[in-house]
Amino acid sequence: MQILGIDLGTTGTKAVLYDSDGKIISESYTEYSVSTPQSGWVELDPLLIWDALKDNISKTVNYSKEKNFAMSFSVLGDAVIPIGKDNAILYPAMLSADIRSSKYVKQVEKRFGDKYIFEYSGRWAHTMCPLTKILWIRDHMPDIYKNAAKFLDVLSWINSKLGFSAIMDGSSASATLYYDINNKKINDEVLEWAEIDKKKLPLVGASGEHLGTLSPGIATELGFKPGSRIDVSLGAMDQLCNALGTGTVEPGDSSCSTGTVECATIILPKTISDTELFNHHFIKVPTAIKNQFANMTVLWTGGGSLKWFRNNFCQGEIKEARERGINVYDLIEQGERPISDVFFLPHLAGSGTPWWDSLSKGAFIGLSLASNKKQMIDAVMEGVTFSLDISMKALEKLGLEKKRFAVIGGGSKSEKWNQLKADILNRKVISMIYKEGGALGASILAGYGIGIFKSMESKSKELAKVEKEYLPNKNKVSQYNQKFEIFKEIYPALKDINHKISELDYSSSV
Amino acid sequence: MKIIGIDIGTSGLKMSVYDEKADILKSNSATYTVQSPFSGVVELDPTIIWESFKKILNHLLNSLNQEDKEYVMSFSVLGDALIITDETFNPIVPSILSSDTRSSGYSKKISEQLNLKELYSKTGRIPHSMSILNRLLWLQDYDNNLYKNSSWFLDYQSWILVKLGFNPTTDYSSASGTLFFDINRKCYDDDILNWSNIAKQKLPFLVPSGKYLGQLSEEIKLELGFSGKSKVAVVSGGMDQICNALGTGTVSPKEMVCSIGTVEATTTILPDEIDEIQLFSGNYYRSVSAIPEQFVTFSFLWAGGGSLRWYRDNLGDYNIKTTEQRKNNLYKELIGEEINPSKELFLPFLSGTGPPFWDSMARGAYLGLNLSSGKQNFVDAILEGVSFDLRYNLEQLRKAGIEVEKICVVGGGSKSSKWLQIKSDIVKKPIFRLERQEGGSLGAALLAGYGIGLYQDLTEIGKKVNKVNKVFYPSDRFMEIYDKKYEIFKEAYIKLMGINKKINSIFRR
Repeated sequence: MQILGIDLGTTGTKAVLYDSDGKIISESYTEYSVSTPQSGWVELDPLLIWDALKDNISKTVNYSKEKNFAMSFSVLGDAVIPIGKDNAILYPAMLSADIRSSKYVKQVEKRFGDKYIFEYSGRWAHTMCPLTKILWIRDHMPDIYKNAAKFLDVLSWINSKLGFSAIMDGSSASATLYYDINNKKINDEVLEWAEIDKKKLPLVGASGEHLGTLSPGIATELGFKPGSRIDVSLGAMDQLCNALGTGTVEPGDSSCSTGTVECATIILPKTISDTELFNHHFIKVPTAIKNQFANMTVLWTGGGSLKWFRNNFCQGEIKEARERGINVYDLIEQGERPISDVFFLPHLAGSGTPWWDSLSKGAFIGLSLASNKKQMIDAVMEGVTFSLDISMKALEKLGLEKKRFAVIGGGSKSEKWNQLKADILNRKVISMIYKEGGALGASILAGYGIGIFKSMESKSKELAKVEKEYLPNKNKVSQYNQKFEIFKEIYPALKDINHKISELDYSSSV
Repeated sequence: MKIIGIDIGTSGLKMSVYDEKADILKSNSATYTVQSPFSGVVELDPTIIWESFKKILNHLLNSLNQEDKEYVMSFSVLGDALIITDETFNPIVPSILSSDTRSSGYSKKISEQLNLKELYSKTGRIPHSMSILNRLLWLQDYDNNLYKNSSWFLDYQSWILVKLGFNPTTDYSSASGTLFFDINRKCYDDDILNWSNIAKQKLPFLVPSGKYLGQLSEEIKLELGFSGKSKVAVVSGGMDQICNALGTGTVSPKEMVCSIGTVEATTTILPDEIDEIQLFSGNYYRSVSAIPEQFVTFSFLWAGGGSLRWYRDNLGDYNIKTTEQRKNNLYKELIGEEINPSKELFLPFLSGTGPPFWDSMARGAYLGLNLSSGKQNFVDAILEGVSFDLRYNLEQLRKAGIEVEKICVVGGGSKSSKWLQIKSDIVKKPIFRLERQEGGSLGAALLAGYGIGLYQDLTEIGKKVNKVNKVFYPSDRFMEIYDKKYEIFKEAYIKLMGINKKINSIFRR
C-alpha cells in the first residue's frame, strides 16, 4: 500500500507519494497562476488544477510497482465554481481573495446579524465566503446563475471529477456561511433568504470518510498504471490538513503556516465558549478530527509583506544574492541588531483576523532619520508576528494552554523568523522537517479512510517530525512585550484614517 | 568697489565676491563637521570657523584682480549659537549650536516663573532649547564655575567681529533668538536678565542689520591678505534666514521665502495688522527683520529635503555610490517628472515638527500602504507630505491674519519642477523659483552695500538683482484628492501623537 497526499493550492498543486510508514517515495509540484481580470477579482481556471493533478500523479507513481493506493486531498478553501447540467464549468473558480461580493457581506450581516451568523457557522460574513459570492453571481451573471446546476468548491468539484458525488468536508463547509457546524447541516433559513436551491450545493461529509475507488478510466486518465486500485477518502481544507501534518491535534496545539498568507490553526479546548470567541471576533472551524474545533487566524500579507518589501526596496540585494548564489532572504535578514523603534502594520491587503477590516492598510511608523532598511525589514517580520500574537494572547487569556507550536510554510525556512516568533510569542517554537504540511495531512486522511491508520491523532504525532526547536530569549521577550503593547494601539489609531484613504477617488488622476 | 558676502552656516562657510550691481564674480566655500559626542549635544569649535574664514578669504583675494582698492563685507550668520569666552575673547569650550537640546528642560522652569504671554509680547519667542536664555540657565546648573568665570556670551557674528578688530556686536535679528531681547524697544530686557541672573555686560552690543561699523585695521588687513593700500569696510549682518529673505527680494508683508534644503525653512514678512494672540498660540516667533520696523515669522520642517535624502540613502538605489551620482539622483532620477497623486501618505516628521507643535516626539510614518505601493509612490508621498506641512503652516498663519500671497523658493529642492508644481497645487499659491541660489551670502552682500550707501532701499534691491526663473501656478487638477489627503494628514499626526510618545518613552532617540 502506498499513499498519495495531494495539496491543491492557490498557486500550484503538489502530490507526495508515501509508503505506509509515512516515508516519502516521490513528489511532484506543478505551478499555475490565478487571474485578476479586474481589481478585486481573483479567479482560477479549475481545469488548470485538474491538469496539474494529472501531471503530478503520473510523475509520482511513474516508478512505483505498487498496485494499491490510498489518496486524499488538502484543498484551498472558500472557492465557488458554477457547474452546468453537463458538468461544464460555467465560470472560473472565484477564490478566497476575491472581494467583488462586498455588498453582499453587508446584506447578510444586516439580515442575520453577526451574533446569529457566528452561532451557527462559527464565522463572520466576509467576501471570501461562498454564500456572498453566489449572491453576487445571482445578481451580476443571471444567465450563469440560471444555468448552474451546482455551486461547488474545489474539493467537491475534484471529487465529482473523480466520479464520486460532489462532496466537501465540514471544515470546507464551515466557510460557506450557509452551514451549521454544530448540527452538521445546511442552514435552511439562510438558503431560503438567499433563494438558493439546496440541491445545487455540495454534500457535506467527514474528513477521512472513504468515498470509494477510482474507475479504471479515471485512474488511467490520472496516470495510474492499469490494474491499480485507488481508494479515495474525503480531504479537508488546507489549514486543517496542515494541522494534521504538523502534529497539531490536541487543544492548545497550534500550527502556523507562513506563506504569502500567514495562517495559524489553534486547536480549541471545550472550555472556551462560543460567546467568548464571538466577543473576540475569532472564528471557529471544525477540524478533521471528530467533534474538534479550531480557531484560525489569517493575515493576508504575512510572508507577502516581506516579499513586497524585498521586491520594491531590495533590488541590490536581489542582484547580490543572485551573483553570490545565496538566498536573498538570508542576505536581507542577516545580522544581529538591537530591537528598533520602527513599527510595521502588515495590512497591505487588509487586516485579516481578528478585525476582518478589508479597508485597513499597511503602515511604517516610528521613523526617524536614524531609521534604516534593516530596521524596517525587522519591523516587517515583527509586525507579522505581533499580528498573530494579538490572537494568541487573547486566547491565552481565555484559558488556552501553551502547548505545541509548529511552524511550516516557506517562511519557516528562516531561522531568524522562527526565533523571532519564539521571542515574541514567548513560547517554544518547533520547525518541521517536512515544511509543506498539507500533503502529509492529506495522506493521514487517506490512510485513515481505508482503515490502515486507526487514529488520526496518534498518526499525526508519529509522522510530523520536528526539525529544530527555538526557545525564547528571556531578554528579548521583555523588550518585545513592550513593543507589542505599542503595536496593539496602531490598528485602532489608524482605522478611520485607513478607511478615509480607501475612499479617496483617484479615478481622475490616471 | 567689491562686495564680500559671507555666509556662516552650521555645516559650512561660504564667501562670494560681488560687483556693485551685485553680480557674482567669485565664490568659495569650506565645510566643517559639527560634533555630537552624545545624543542631544551639538557643538562646533569656533576656531575652525575662523581658520576657514581666513583661508577662504585669502584664496578669494588671490584669485581677484587686486587693483581694486575698496571692499565692503557683511555676514549672514547661523542663529542661536552660544560662544562662551574668557576676557580676551578666547572660547573656553566649544560653541553650542541651535539643535543642541541639553537645555530643553529649562523651558518648563521659564514657563512656570514668567508669564509666557508677556514674554512673547516682549521677545517674540517662546521658551525652547534653542534660545540663549535656556542655554544660560542650563549652564548655571550644569557648570556654575564656567558660568561665573566666563567673560562673554557671544554669537558667531559678534565673535567674528572681535576677530576683525571690532567690539563684540550683533544685530537685532540675531538677538531675537535670545529670549531676553525686546524686539519692540530693540534692547536687552532688564527684567528677564535680572530674573535669570545674566549680566548684561557679558552680552554682545546691539546694532541694526546693515549698519556701517568701520574699516579694518592695517594689521588685520595684512593678516587676511588684503593689500596695504586697500580700504575694507565692515557692515553688520543678519541672521541667516533674514539674509536669505533679503537676497530673494522677500521684503513686503505677506511674502514668504521657502528654502527647500535638508531643513525646509520659511520666513514670512508680517503685515502691520496681525492677531498676536493667534501667532503666540500657534507658537510662531515674531522676529526682527533687516528692514527697519519690519517683523517676520518662521516655520521649520526639520526633515524637509532631509526626508528625501533619508529615503534615498536607506530605500533608494543601493548601487549609487559616488557623491555626484547621489546628488543628481536625488532631484532628477529619484523625483522624476510625471505627477501622480500617491495613494500613500507620508508624515515627514523624521526629526520632529517645528511650529505650531514644536513636537520633538513626533516621528515619520508611511501610511496607506498596499501591495502595489512601490518606490515611486514612496517618493511621491514624501513630496506631498512635505508640502502638506507647508500648507498646515500657511493655514496657521492665516488664522493669525497673515494670508501669504507669494512664495519664493530657493535651495536644492527648488530644482525639481515636479516638486514645485505639487507644492503649488497643494498649498494653492503661486510659487516663484528664483534665478539665484546664493542664499545668505547674496543677502549679506546687499546689507554690506546698503551699509555704505551703495543701495538706498533694501525693499527694492533684492527683487532687482534676483529675477524670477519660473512661476508655478496652482492647478486644480488634483485639488479634490489633495484637499482630502490634507485633512487625513492632519488627522494622522494627531492620531499617532500618543503612540509616538510611547515609542519615545521606550526608545530614546
